[in-house]
Order: sequence, then structure tokens, then C-alpha cells
Amino acid sequence: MTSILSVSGLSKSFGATAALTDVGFVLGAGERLAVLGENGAGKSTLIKLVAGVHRPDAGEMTLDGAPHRPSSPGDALAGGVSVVYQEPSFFPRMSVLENLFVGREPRDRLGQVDWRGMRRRGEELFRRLDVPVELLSRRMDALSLAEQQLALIARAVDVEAKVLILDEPTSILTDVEVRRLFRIVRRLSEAGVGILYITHRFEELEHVADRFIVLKDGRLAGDLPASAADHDRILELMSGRPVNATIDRPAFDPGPVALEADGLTVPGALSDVGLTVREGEVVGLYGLVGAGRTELALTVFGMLRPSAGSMRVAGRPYAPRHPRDAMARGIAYLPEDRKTLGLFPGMDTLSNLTAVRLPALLGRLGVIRRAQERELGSAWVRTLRIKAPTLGFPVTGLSGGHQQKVLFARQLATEPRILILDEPTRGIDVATKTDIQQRLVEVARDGKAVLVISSELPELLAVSDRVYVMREGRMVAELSGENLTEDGVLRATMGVNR
Amino acid sequence: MTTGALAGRSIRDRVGDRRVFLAVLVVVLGAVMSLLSPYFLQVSNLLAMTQYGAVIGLLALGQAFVILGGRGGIDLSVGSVLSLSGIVMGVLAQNLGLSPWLAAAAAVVLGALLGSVNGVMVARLGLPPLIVTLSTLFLYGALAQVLTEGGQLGGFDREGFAALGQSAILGVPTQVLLVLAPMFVLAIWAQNRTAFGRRLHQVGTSDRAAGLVGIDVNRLRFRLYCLSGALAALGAVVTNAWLLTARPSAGTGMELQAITIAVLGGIDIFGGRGHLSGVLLALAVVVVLSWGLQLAQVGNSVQTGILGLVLVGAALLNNLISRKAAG
Repeated sequence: MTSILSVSGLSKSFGATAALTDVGFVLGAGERLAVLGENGAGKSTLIKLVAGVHRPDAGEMTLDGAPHRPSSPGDALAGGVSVVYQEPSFFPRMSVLENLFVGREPRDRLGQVDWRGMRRRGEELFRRLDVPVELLSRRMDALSLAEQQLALIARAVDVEAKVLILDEPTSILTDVEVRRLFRIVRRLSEAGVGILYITHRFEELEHVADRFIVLKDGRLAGDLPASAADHDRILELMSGRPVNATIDRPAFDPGPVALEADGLTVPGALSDVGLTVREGEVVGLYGLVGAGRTELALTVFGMLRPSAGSMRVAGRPYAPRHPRDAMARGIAYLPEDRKTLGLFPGMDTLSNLTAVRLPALLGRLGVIRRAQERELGSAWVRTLRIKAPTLGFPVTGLSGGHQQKVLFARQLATEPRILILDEPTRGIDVATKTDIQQRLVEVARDGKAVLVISSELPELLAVSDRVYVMREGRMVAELSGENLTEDGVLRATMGVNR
Repeated sequence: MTTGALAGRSIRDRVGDRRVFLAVLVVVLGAVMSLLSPYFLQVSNLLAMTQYGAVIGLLALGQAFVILGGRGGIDLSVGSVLSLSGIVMGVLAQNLGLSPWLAAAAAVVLGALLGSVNGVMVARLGLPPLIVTLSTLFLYGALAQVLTEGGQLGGFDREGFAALGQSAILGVPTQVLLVLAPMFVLAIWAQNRTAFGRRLHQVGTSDRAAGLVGIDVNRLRFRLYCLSGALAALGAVVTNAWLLTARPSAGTGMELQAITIAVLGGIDIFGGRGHLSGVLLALAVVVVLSWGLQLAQVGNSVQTGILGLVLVGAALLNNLISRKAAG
């Protein structure tokens, strides 16, 4: 088999974080190569390097015998690298046909768009891929997610792709659609297209891959033929990451149940999810991106309204209509996205820190008691060792870790009974990270119920007394004590039985 | 830490710069104007200048609040709200013989109600502010015309009401001393010292982040439109006391001037950033500019052209400074 894409010594760092280190592999023409790895293992970075979204810091890529150094996604596309991303982008108000040929519409001699030629080519393409031709004249946003994905795959294929990259294409497809996709992938590979297939689903491997590579912490952990794709072997390759700096997690007597959820269902996000969190306990919530963890947190916090199910806080029924109801019952939520959901950029550190606590700092006419506010602010700056030159310093002038500490303080300052933290340490430096991890264990041992969502398994294992695992909107496992191991969590996450 | 400290200073510099820039601009414009027209610096002229500014200043203040509140906030209806509430005040004072003071109070309440219509459509129904307030601009304007059949109303020169618009205390026009100045002082104080001011900026920065810290985003935004309506009606009260007639076209075109002053004052058109004290300075700039040009017998159309130049100049300068700060 001739090689179509070969990669060697590929490395990429973002700031101080090494996303990819010295990765190399060869993709043959017509070969189907599956890329496996946990959240943050470097899969997305790898795709983005090949697709020209990022430039590698080091390493070589060769496409069809010639050096592949794309300077932009358009450049990579022109070279024959086509990508269908997990979150597809297209023009929702244009027809499928227009979307197929956007930017490369066939022209007639007068330079006008050759609609008839375009239609003919579109129909040929869809027939070839076994996609219903009727879809061509529908508007893109009138299609189901699965149909949109098919249309995008068709677009990716039509540009004479030498390499087609599919980023978790099946995560939103039904079984029937998945089988159709597999047929398409097979047909393309028979035509000589090299396929890079990113997936989290083990059960798909035998259908879509001739070979697979495993990434772990940005490094290549394994490169095996599909015949050797035994689940245990893959899990072994994926796990075994070094444990975080030691977090002191003293033994405790679990207190009464603080938060209880039963049968929570949010259409399209959660189905029949239940959990309990006790006072004094840190409960971890693991799952792949899109498993429904954040949706669960948002439901508890009153941002999403469940269509079925019930919740209780401290034993009493709880049905929040908005975050204020949640706060009134002593629930605090640190959102996942610091930049868009947490911080108020353009405002100073103090007013960011006291944003939730503000009602308790008001005098008559809603006047802020400034001395009291500053006192509260300084106390938290000291307690959490927040590095801010002054309380009036613009919050965006702080480092990412300290911005996160400000948001952590914002929630702690409300003295919540239940604290929900969504990716509390994402994108911050190691020292601050350990600091926050240790702090949240202390908060729990102080008698609060803490629920932590994290995509970093080592972190979750270090801080949690108990871990729930979600998969595709469902709660699939609850692990504690001896069962709470990296292997156990990964098996539940990937849907692999023991 | 050093870079952080530097970034901090440059942000503060930028805020300072805008207001310093406007203050300098007022002085420079004043100097230029007094050269263009020898009458410019006469006391009577300074008085007339601020009388004119009182009305437009109230509108700009309301506009600034609405824009600060974010999500594309803008209130194009303020001119028409001024016209309509001024007319209704005239109907109450002239046709029904109500005390002009009571009629004024009623007009302000009406203004808040007219604003609440915008508020409901923007905050509760989620319609785009531009479309909503453009519609009410036409609707309220038409209502004002229909109510008077194009004529004008009076009945304000009773019970000392005219003093509000035509007298001066210690050389300062009464409407400036007793209406405009207190309103700005109150607004600047509220912006800097109260929970309302804090939440205004939080909501203006991000709806979702504000919702997550427990702010009732829709209610706050609804109130901003009511406030803008009430301030526009207060502008009508001041206009009626000044001119002693209510005309259905009294506020025509004022919405654009109000927006100009708010934006010139450094209120970020995307919400969440800007100081009301900057709006006050911008008001001074615009008043000096238009009054001075009028004295110098520069035509109306040229005046608005020059105002446009000042606005785009201020935007360019801001852009330049913030780019320097970022780089």
C-alpha cells in the first residue's frame, strides 16, 4: 500500500501546555485509521495540524509524496485534506446544493453560476454516496443533524480529497445512519482515499478501521492493526497517566444527603439521570465531552428545565425556575467557560469577586457598603492567595489561574451548602491547579456538598470520594472505594464491559 | 506581574483619556467659537446654550443607560416620546385646565409607560431593540400629530411653571440647576455606588454571566427602557416650560443627537462599558459646537456635518488608543 499521508515528530504547544509531542504515523492510500484517546489526549490538535488550522512547532508532514505545510485550512483543502468537524460549520439559510459548492460554484462562459451543471454534479455525488438526492434542494437548517453531517461529508469528499478526516462523526447519528456512514467510508477507502477517523466508540472500531493509533497526553501510546484491537489492550494504552501532585483527602463521615436527583430528563441532553451528593463529600462527574455533564449541572442550577424527574435539596422538594431559586437554596455553580460565562471583563477584581454576594453588602437604596465589600474582597484574596495588585485591578489583567480563583471566591463567598464546579482547573497553571483542588476538598470536609465536573481523570480521582460516569446523556456508573480506579472509570466511559 | 500592572495602567489611561479628551475638546471648541463669533462668550449666550443642552442632555442620559444595558440596546423612540408626552401634558394643562405642575408629573409617568412598551417587547419578548424602538418612534410620533392635528398647545404659563424654563438662579438656568444637574449627579452616583450600577454593567457585559450570578436580566433591561422614557418625558416638561408651547414635532430628530452624545461620551455601543460623566462632557461638546456654529451663522446642514466629523474623529481616536494599549 502506498503512503498518502505521513507524519513524523509532530509537536505543538499552546503557551506552557504541550498539546502534542513527537507524534508520527503513516496513513496508506485507502487505509482507514482510527485515532483514539481520552479528552485532552491531543486528538483535536493532531487534526488541526494536518488540516492547517494550527502550524506545528516541530515535525514534518508529507502528503502524497510532497511536503505538506498548510498555512491555512483552505491551503490544506486545496492540497487534498478534507475535514468534517464534530461541530460542523455551514451556511444554514442556503440550500444543501449551494452549501456543497459554496466558494467553488461551476461557472458558464459569461461567468454566471452554472446552476444546471451544479445540480447535475450534486446529484451524481449524492448518488455515488447513496445519499437521498431530494436533500439537495432543501435548506441546510431544515435538515436533521444526521442529514447535515451527510451533506458535509459529501462536500468534503467532492473536493477530490486524498485524506478525509472525520471527527467523531457518529456521536449524533442513529444506528441506521451510522451504518450508512460506514458504507460511505468503505466506498471512499476502496477509491483510495486515506481516512483518519476520530472516535470514542470502541464498538465501531472493527467497522471503520484497518488500524488504530492511541494518543495519551499528547504522545503516541500505541499503533496497532485492527486485528489486535482488543478492548483491554486499548484501555491499557489509554490509561496509566501520572497522578496529580498529592491532594490530601482526609477520611470523613458522610453527612446527610444534600442534593438528590431522580429520573432527570432534558430532551436532547439528559435521559433518566439520578444522583446524590452528601454533605462533607466530593463527588466527581466524569464523561466525554457531550455526555451531558454540564447539562446536568445547569439543570440543578435552574438554567435548564427538565421535562421529567425530580430533585430534592436537604430532603425538601426542589424545582428551580432560574439560578436565583438555586442560590436561595444554597447552591453555587462555577461555570465551565470562564471567559464567557464567568468573568465580567472590563470590570475590576472586586466587583467580579462580590458579584453573587452583592445583595448582602447593600445599605439603603441599594447603595453598596464599600468598606464592607472591600473587607470581604481582601479576606478572600488572602484566603485563596489571589495575586491581584489591588482590588480595583481589572480582572482581565490577572493570570488565568487567578481569574479562576476570583470566580471560585465569588461562589465561596456566598457560603453555599452545595457547590457545583464545572471544570474548575481547566487551562490554568499547575501550582494554582493543585491549590484549587486541595481547597475544594477542604470545602467539602467543612460540611459542604461538592460536585466536581472534570475531563481530567487524574484530577477527578485525586479529589473525589465517589465518581459518577455519564455517557450519551445517561448515568452509566457510580464508582467508589475499591472500584474507583482509572480503569473502572474508563471502561464505563467507553461502554466496555469488564 | 509587570505586564499585568502595565495592562492595568493602560486601561485606566484609556478611560481617563476619553474624558480628558472631551474636556480638552470643550475648551478648544469654546476658544475657536469665541474667535468665530465675538458674542459667544457673553453671559446671555452661555445661558441660552445650557438651556438648549438641558433637554438633549436628559435624552442622552436615558440613551446611555439603555446602551450600557447591552444586547444591542438602543432607544430610537426618545424624540417621539418627548413629543407625545409634551402634547399630552399640553392637553392636560390647556384643554383640561390642570395645573401645569400636575400635568408635568403626569407626563413623566406617561413617558415611563411609553418606555415600558419598548421594555416589554425588548426584554420580555426578545425583539431587537432597533426594530422595536424604530416602530415606537413612528407610532408615538404619529400619535402626537393625531392628537393635535398638527397644531400646538399651551397653557403652561401659570403657577410659576414658566420659571422652570426661563429663569436663572445665580446665573444658571433653572432647568439646568434643578433638573439636568441633579439628574446627572444622581445617575453618576447610582452608576458608581449602587447595586443597580454594578448590575447594569454586568448585564451589559454578558446576559448569561449576569444570569448566572442571579441577576434578573430581563427585569433590569425592562427598567432601563422605562427610565429612558421617563427621562425623555422630563425633557418634554423642560421644553414646555422653556418654549411655553407643546408642538407635535418638538422631539423630531433628537434621538440621533442623544445617541451621538452617549457614544461620543464613551458609552460602548455594545454595552457594559462607559462612564456617565463622559456623557456629561460630550453633552458640553455638542452644545458648544452647535450653539457656536449657529452664532457664527454656519448653516444647519453644515453643523450636523461637523458633528459627524467630531463623532467619527472620537471613534478613530478611541480605536487608535485601544489598539496601542492592546499592542
